[in-house]
Amino acid sequence: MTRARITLFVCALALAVYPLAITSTFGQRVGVLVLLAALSGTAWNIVGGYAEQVSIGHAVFYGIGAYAPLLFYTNVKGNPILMIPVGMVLAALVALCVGIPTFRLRGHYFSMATLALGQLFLLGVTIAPALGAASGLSGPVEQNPWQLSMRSPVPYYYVFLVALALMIGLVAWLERNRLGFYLRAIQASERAARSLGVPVYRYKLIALMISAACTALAGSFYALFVGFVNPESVFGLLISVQIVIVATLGGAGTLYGPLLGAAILVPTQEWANATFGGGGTGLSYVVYGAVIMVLTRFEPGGLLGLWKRLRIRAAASA
Amino acid sequence: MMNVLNFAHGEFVTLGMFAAFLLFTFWHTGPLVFIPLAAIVLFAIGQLVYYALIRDVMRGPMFAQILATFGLLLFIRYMLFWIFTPNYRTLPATLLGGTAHLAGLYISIPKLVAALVAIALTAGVYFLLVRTQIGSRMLAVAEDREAARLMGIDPDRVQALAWGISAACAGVAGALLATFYYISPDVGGTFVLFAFVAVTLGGFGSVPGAMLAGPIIGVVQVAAAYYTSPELAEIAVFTMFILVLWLRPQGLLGRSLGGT
Amino acid sequence: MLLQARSLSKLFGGLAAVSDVSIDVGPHDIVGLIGPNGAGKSTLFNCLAGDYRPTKGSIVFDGVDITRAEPERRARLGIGRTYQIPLAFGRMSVVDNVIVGAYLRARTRASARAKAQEIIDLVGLGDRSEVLGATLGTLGRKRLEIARALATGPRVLLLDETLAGLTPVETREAIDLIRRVHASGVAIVIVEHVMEVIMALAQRVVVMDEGKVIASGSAVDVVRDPRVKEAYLGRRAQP
Repeated sequence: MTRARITLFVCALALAVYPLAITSTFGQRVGVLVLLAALSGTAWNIVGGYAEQVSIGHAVFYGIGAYAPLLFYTNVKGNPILMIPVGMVLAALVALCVGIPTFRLRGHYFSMATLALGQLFLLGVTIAPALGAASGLSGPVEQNPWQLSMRSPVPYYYVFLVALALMIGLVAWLERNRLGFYLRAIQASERAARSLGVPVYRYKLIALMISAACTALAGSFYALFVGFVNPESVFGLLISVQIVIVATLGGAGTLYGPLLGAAILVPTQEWANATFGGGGTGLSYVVYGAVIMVLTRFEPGGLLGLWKRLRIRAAASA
Repeated sequence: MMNVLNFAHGEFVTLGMFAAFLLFTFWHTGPLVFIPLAAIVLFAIGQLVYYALIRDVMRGPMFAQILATFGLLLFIRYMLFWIFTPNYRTLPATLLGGTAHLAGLYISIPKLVAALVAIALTAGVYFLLVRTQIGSRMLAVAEDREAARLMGIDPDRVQALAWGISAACAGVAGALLATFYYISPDVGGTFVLFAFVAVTLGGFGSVPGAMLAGPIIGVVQVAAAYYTSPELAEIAVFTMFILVLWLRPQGLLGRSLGGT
Repeated sequence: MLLQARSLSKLFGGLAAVSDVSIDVGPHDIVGLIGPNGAGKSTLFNCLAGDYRPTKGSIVFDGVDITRAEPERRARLGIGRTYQIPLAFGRMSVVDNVIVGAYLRARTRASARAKAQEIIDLVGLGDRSEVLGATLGTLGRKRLEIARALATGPRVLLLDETLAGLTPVETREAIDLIRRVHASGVAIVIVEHVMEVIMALAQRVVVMDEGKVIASGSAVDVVRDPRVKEAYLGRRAQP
């Protein structure tokens, strides 16, 4: 067993037994939030890390995923879980609205468009009474595992853990197959990729749609876990920023980077909120901004990138 | 134009506003003083940002380049939030005179002055780019950094200069805005996106295009706000952005993009 | 006739970089494209490869009009190309680089990998297949570029000044490699500056100057053509 495999196994084990070891509700909640962040970060990674199409408005997909089930529940009193796939498809379609015009162009149009789209949806939902406007929507209150509505965080934790494992498995599979190769080629040199017959435009769109759908899934999970959504909490800029930081802190373009980033960022954030109180929200952006600047300036590869560099250096001097 | 997307540009505008505010409030200087001072301060900040952040980030992967200025945006904006709190502030409306009655329309003088200065500055920058030696150096570096270096141009100094000028313009815009607009840290956000829309509509790299697009967007926004609501006005501008991307991505006067 | 360009012209603004050029490439040809600096060779090359759209004229490949086709389409039809400055996928290994090319025709990961390995051995990188693209030297990168393009199963390979910047020993190895590639059934069009290479490789040479074809024929004939001599030596010190 290589060292990497052992580390992986230990981490997986730790993740599996975490809620049994940490029995405080607060600790378990943090665990769930880490998993949610890891889900959305891994999703973002598909288009932002592998294909290097940087989206700073991913909250759009998160929000769509969050609102779809609760809209269904509020208006029709149906099982919100049924809307999860609908939310994912919807997110993918909205992604196309941004991807189709911008992936044809050079320059940073895609990133700008995602930012604009994020703001668009945030504003749009805030002023739409049919969507709950600024006050938001609520989900099921009664205990019903079939609606993913439970009192304790523990069942959520395991459902999300399985989902995360599946998503990482999906990305790993994509990585090793044509999509992964093509995306990495596109990231390295679009021009060369074209000359090898890679349908650059199409593959960027595919990556974007997969990413959007997976992010929507994370959003749906969030909505069902918290039982409540409002525009700011799922469509806000903070969500987009968090997703980006989670993915890049750990290492964009790596399989486990987002999980690592989530494991570091979320507990720190929760601890900071608990210690400094709600007034810290402005301050957290300042810290996020500083973190992003430091990361991009000194170690764009994130923590995993740093780790790899240190290991190469250690091996070279040995 | 320097092939760098500066997400933090709106924050430079905000910094200009606050510079004007501070200079006015604590040193009681009038617009004739605080506008140039804002320009100078922002010029320095622009150069600082280039040397401390941009220069190294440009050598890294693309996604880092995009994220770096976004991080700067967050940092500046929320630092301002933290220092100054979200409360709106204003400078006295009479600073640049009140309203003038011109050809049956009431025109606010501060806005008129701002418009004139904006036009003058834009024309000045355009002139700088196409007619002066320093301008052609900037265009050279923007086109091919290494080739420019081989010709004896120091790309770092030229790009730092470009950043300084760009920031200074934003600073002037902010200082001018301060004379009639509310001052708050969240001002930057809307403006930077509107600036992107203007550049996209006008055409990337085309200064005359931006000049054309600016008023168009302004009119659309004000009209939408008047007939519907401020939020819908913002939505209108963003929708326009996405429409432009779909229908005419090279903007009105820009070069053709994509493909070759 | 595999690749046929007819009356190609490419104008940039008012300047005609390529003017009424026609070129024929058969399925077993090695065609050299030479000319002094600024003759329009690169522009013509890029029109054939798909980076530029010609202003006038047509390009037909295997019966299909590709005048305005995207590079991806040309690759799928069977045109491969390399770049003057190699664009290796630096962070991917040699074999992964070539797999990207192989995936054009291969359906499964296994067959793509097998094809890639086969091509890597052909170009002489067999001992370095797991090495990162960025760590290869100049000749290695050129081999990689050729391997990658070969993996797409082209019928014609366009080489853009592939032998620039190589030492004499490396140049001879590169010539050998190109001969091997040709022997495997691929037509070659090579843009080149260095006369000795063209003499050694090309069956047919097309000479351009100021956007037009001024001579065409076997290498030996072309070199003795007075118009060619004048183009190279008349106005400039050296080719």
